[in-house]
Amino acid sequence: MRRAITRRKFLQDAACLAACGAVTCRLRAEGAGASGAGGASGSQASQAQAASAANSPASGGAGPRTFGRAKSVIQIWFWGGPAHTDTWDPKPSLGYDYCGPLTSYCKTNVDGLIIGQLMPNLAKCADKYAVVRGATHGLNAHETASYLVQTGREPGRFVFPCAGAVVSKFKGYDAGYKGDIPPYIVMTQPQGRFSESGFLGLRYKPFATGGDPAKTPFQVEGIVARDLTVARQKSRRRLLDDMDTFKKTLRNSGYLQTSERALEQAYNLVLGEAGKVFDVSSEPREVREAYGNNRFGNECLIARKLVEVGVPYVTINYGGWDTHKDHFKEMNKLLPPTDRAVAALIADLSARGLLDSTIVWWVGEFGRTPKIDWKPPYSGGRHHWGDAFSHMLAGGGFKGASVLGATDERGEQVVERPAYPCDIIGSIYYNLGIDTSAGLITPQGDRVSVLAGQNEGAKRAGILSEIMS
Amino acid sequence: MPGVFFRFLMCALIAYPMCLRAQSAGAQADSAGAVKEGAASSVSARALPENRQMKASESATVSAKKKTSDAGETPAAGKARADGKTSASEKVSGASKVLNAGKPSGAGGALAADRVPGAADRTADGTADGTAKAKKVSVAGGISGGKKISGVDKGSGAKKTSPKGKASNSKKAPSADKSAEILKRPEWKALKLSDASPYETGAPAQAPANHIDVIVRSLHKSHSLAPANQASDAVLCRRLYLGLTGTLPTVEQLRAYLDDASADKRERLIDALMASDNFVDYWALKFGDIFRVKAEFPVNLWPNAAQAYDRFIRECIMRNVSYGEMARRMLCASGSNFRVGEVNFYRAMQSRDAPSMASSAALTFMGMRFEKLPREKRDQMSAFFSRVLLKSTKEWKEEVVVNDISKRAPFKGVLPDGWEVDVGEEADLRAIFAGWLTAKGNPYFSRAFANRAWAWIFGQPIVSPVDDMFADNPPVCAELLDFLGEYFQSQNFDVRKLFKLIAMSNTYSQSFIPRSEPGAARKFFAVYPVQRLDAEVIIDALCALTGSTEIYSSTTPEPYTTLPNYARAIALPDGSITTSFLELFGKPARDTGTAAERVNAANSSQKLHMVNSTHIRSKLSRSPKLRAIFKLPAPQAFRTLYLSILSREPTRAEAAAYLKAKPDWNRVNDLAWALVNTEEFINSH
Repeated sequence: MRRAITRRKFLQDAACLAACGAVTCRLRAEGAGASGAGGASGSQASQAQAASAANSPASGGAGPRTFGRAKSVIQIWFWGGPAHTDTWDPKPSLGYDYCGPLTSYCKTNVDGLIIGQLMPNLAKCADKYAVVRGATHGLNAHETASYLVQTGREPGRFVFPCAGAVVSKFKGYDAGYKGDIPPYIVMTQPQGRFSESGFLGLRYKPFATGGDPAKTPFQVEGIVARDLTVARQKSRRRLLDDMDTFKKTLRNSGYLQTSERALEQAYNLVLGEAGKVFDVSSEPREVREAYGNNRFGNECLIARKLVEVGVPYVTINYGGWDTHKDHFKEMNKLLPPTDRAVAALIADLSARGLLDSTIVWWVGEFGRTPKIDWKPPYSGGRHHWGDAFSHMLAGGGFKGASVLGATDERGEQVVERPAYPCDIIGSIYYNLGIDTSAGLITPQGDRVSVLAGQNEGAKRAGILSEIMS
Repeated sequence: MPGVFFRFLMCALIAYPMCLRAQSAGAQADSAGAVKEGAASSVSARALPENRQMKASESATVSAKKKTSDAGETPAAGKARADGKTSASEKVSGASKVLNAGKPSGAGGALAADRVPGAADRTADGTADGTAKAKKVSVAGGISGGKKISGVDKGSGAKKTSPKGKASNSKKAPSADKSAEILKRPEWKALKLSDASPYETGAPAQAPANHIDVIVRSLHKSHSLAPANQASDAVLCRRLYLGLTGTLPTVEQLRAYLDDASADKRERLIDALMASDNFVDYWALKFGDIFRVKAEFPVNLWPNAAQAYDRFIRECIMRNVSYGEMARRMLCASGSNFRVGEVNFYRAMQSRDAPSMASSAALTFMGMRFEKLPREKRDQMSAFFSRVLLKSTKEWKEEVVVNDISKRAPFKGVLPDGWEVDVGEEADLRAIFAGWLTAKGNPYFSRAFANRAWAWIFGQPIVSPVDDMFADNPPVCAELLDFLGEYFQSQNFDVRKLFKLIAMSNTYSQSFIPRSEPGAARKFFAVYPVQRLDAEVIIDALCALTGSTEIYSSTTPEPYTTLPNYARAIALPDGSITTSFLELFGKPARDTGTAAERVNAANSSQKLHMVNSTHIRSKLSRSPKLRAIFKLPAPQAFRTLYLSILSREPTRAEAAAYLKAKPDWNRVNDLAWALVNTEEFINSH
């Protein structure tokens, strides 16, 4: 924590330098790579360039060339905070107090990169994703950490929109998205904790599917009603039209225009083709098996199908990771199907040529204490840990076979290339072609930038240009 | 209870001398007797300016030095004190007042008596004009009489039925002619279905019911707008129930109103509704939005503090504490935020600095955006909150709000309208601000609330957004705003009296069908504005109709709060306690206290939910209450569903449309589903 703050001060100074001599700094960024403060300041510089590139997209070559490469995001939200040391940042030699029963690790298909013991399938496709090991923000409460990780901002006067809502604004209906499927989908329940769309309001809220994706058919709340035949649906709609004397009375007033259009759109989903995207039964058996044929697997498969039809933002809200008690029992239960489904998702997207334009983002609100709490009642639990944790980013302009940042030998503190929430969200926006200096209007009518500016005191170490190409 | 009174008395004792000092004219201790109480500290004050226009820029220019004029000032001291006493006694008598509310009182009663007998005449003299208009409307609306019914049905059937649908229809369903035949059967005839508009009477109001109508009528004339016809009794009854209590009338309540032939029934209904528990719940919800009653995130307010805050609001509404008194208590209170609910006004905000407090006070009580004020004004206003101190205690997340006496020093400041104060060192600056804010003649307070009240009760604000009342955002009708503000003030900030004045006006009882250009009609109050109901109101209506409940919960903080088997979302004590339904339908997050946070706009996700979700479908299909109705003979089931869901009698045309298919179990189930999916159900009209 302390280290991070001093680092931040240093980085702010570095930003000034960067402003004076962008060229020199760019050279340094290329030369220094991702090691220590030099690298960090370099990326600060490239961030400054990224911003200018974003402002004038025509001036090619300044930032990473990934601006606008991604069209969609699949965010897998590990609700509760997954243990970084059991997944992307294993420390297998630390012994029982740190590793518990997970004393081994998986060698990946990338030289020198190891990941958690329970992720053998992901180990086979490390060439397709980047691991960010320097994620940090220092907060240990679910609410504030979730908010920070998803909005890139410290809690303050306003509730800012989370990344999904921002993408929905810049890539959804306002930007000419025409799909019948809402542009921001969450499976199956909203993330809670805070209002996802923040002050942007209802229009940018995610559509929550509800239902159980493990069942066939997956009853997407409102779209799929198993016990109603198509004929009955149609006759109901006729009855509704007949009975709505009120609507007929006001037909020419325009007062109900929005509402009538909304109903039209809803019925396109209920009766039209678009709603079939939630039906996994049309997929070949092998594909469904590859994903695991379970709830999370089906969610990943549906996410792929949604991205395929052009939905810009899909969140899989994946609960169960707040493992204070019996952590290892939970990991043994949760990680194997997770590993299988995420690996299948990456492989599937890649085989269909969608990985280049789709970002798969593995993220939780924080990591978990590297040191295990063996005391009762936890009997082998890991608690909240915001000082250091990991993300995984695949596709959409993020470079495969790469690792960014590092933690100390115990996985407790970031010692190399920190990545603050703002940096990660900013990189995702960048790859989506969203100008991070674009404005949002607060309830008070003030204009604020999409990404927290330096003046808001947000911790930044620059966009992750090292893993973007 | 004695504790509450004691606290209130303490508050009054602290607040009033200050207020009194502030209002006493002249800096000299010898000028007025009242100042004796002021002893060492003295206040120089200037009476409120004549110009009551709420223009920030203007008041900004007035902010320059103002001389205190001794002569000709109203020594408002006495008044302020009387004020305090009134509200104290009011509080004591609050309960009995509510009980007596059924009785018609003074002015309002007279107005109603004037109005209602006229109603019959009106239809009589208005015949030529009235019926002509009525015809026009019904033609436009597609409800028409006699032969036209079948014509309309055929027409709409042909329009809407796809060839496929028609084929399947004709197999099992009787034709339109057949449905007309069924309607001739005695059991259907007994319903006495009519072809008249279920929504309105034949004519607009002729005579004004109160001064609101006089102002609004001249507004209409100046924009060449024809006011809408008066709404039917059934529409008005539903509107009053939903608007005042957020609750749908039951069939019995509706029938009682429709069957009542007395002249003052509207007024008696308004009084009875305002004396009900539902009124308290619904207005605690509405006030909760603007006072930001919400636990934990983004503001770290612990749930029991949020609930104490809610209890304070609830109690004030229950006892009909004047809004001025409520504001003073919130602004001046000290104590633990777990125990003294009102101190949470200072706690339920993200930042704890004086400018944030001033900003909240401006937004909540003055309808002003602090951020838009010039720097100098902001600093001046913030100064009055510079001695508010929040201290933590040994209890988890408890905080105590106090007036920081360590900062004692003589204080010179300028109030938002340029009024100068100069007080001694023991002054509680918050009390000076609150005294100024709620004094008679203050240009901000009464209008800010009048605008909110009009927006809440009538449905369309006079200044929009309702909490951004700046000079560059002029009112649609300044005269109406002034009148409502002055009335509110003259009634000692009695919220119920203001609501009643609005609800008794003929402007309020207009129908929702415009008779002029729809946009202008809406803007200038020439039609009752159709508006989607609040999220909480919709789900409560569905729960009441079906006899079902919901599970409300809050996931912040741990341990989670869960309210199972809960049927009344309007009574939720904390903005964090919610469901996905409420979120989907635009329940405000209560993060900022701005009115814009509540979004009552339709979108396709809401429609999907209402039309097709398991949540709503199972509510309808598993309801024992509805099942009992479904089992009634077809005509009774048909009618009861209309009365309970849409709060009105069905029309002949609707019966004919319903009878296009055999009224079997599926059909009656589908009817219940269709009615809750009509625009008529989900909108306030």
